[in-house]
Amino acid sequence: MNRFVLRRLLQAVPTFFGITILTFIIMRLSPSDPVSLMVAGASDISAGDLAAIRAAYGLDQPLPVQYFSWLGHVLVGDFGQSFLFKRPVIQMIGAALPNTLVLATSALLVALAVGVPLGVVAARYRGTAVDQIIRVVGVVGHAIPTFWFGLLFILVLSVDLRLFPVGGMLTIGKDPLDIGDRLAHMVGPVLALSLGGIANYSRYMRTEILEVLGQDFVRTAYAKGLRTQRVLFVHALRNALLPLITALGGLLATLVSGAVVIEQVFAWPGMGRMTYEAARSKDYPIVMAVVVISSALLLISYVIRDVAYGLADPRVRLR
Amino acid sequence: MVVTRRTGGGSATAVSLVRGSTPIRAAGPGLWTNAAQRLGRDRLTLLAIFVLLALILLAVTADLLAEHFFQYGFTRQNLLDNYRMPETATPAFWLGSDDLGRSQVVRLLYGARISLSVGFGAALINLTIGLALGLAAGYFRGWFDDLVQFVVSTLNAIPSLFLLLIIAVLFTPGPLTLVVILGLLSWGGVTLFVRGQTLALREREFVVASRVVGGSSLRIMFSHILPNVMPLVMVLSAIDVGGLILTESALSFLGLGISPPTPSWGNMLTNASANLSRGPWLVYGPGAAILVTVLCLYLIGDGVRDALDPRLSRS
Repeated sequence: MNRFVLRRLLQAVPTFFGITILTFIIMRLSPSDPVSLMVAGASDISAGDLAAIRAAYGLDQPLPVQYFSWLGHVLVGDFGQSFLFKRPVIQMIGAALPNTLVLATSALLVALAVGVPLGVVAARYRGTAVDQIIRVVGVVGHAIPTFWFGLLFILVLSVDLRLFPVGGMLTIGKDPLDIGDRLAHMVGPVLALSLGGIANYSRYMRTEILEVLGQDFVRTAYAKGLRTQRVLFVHALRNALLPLITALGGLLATLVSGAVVIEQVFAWPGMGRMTYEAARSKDYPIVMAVVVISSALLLISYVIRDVAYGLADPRVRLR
Repeated sequence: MVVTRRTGGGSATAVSLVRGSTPIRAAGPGLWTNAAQRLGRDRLTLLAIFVLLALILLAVTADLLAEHFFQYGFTRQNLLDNYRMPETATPAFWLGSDDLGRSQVVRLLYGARISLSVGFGAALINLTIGLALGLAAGYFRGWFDDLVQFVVSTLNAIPSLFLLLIIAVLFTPGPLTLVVILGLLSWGGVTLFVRGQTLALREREFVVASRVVGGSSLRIMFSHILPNVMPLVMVLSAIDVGGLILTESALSFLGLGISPPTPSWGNMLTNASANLSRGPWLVYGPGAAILVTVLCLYLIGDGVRDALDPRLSRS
């Protein structure tokens, strides 16, 4: 098992370097020059001053030299300073990342809690109207633009019915430890983010359960007189859940991507919103750091997923 | 799963060689004939195809409709007519007007044009890349396969919207550049799928037979493997176009895709969200348009897959 974990970790290393190279190249290919952005607004800058700034930041060095010097800093967690806020990037990300992770994990839990039972029910009532309705819910969940769902949520439930706040993470002036207030702010964004996951899981579970239901141990369970409910939710579900682990890793990627738009709709102070604003003001250090850090997190989640799968199903380790 | 298709020359010759004098079985209805028959009984998929075709027709005739029926250009503004509630009396204001007095329904028509062409255009690019790389990686294996897999896993490890966000900001794309960028970043899934199928197909008898009679690699890839991969790739492409339309609308909504005054469903929603209190009706149209279009594409993808391979059918 240890060797399996080690091998999986080693496989992630070249991918990580691939990501840093890609990020670096995209940034350097960009037609807008960081130095002119840095001095934007300041008048009377001579060509000599510009050259001096270039030299000070090492921008006059050959590209591979620049890449390795940047990489050296990245590996020790130094992502430089934001052009705009003049604060260390790592600090700013440290403040925003937890907010995004709260959204993404809540959405993941909601997706599991709703999607899995839906899938089991669809498999149980296969071919009936219930199955059809769940199928339609699933396809609509995939096809609906999440930001539109968010806007409708705000329009109907927040503005018209005044049930939920329109955005933000907590009400200004209220006790920041007020859990009820925080939860009320989370309902909209979490719901919007979890739609895709609900659709995915219900579909996935339906297929898996149907597959498991054809196996011998299910017939045995029925034969010894167990009720359908028990066979379905204890015997079949446990075995059908196993392949679900593989679906988890990919979902995190979708959630982090989805958060960019949803955070914008609900004014949620997370990493997506920060990246969006940094990208609009061409604040390179923040953008590069976000791409590298979020990709690294994803890579780690893929490794964890594979290891978890290896733990749950020893046959996988042999591959 | 693999859809088996009768391939010409190679396999038939091989069979007749082995069987000697036994006559070859008469050909039954082909894959597509069977699929079309099954599709004809699937009402939901037929409805989806009909709606999508209607949308395409509306998008194509947007100029004519705007000029002769609505008599209101998509850029025409009239501040005296701003925030008109939806009404049936004037066709141009069927869905109301926005903050500048522009006709919502006419702009939706032009938005359809943008969304559909971005979706189909980008899909064309990523399918071409995906098919070429997937076929080559699966057929030749070795270092080329490793390289392709490495690039795909690297691209997949970056949250896609972050990558698009950066590129969109740095290069401020027009509609055409956007199509190219979306196409160039989204070929990973198709490539892995085609590669997997090719790996399985290259060991099949009809491929081995073709190699025995001296078929070149190119011939095997394009006239034996490709036709067998194609049906499922077409299914995948319907879902692919849907996903691309969603991505384009999200980017445009963030103000990074199609930028005004060119109307796209995404940037119309940006405008709607800025005027939420004065013109709430502006929110419904563009979102519903995206939902219906993508829904149709997904349903068509599902339906065609079921029709091609009844073993996978849902009921």
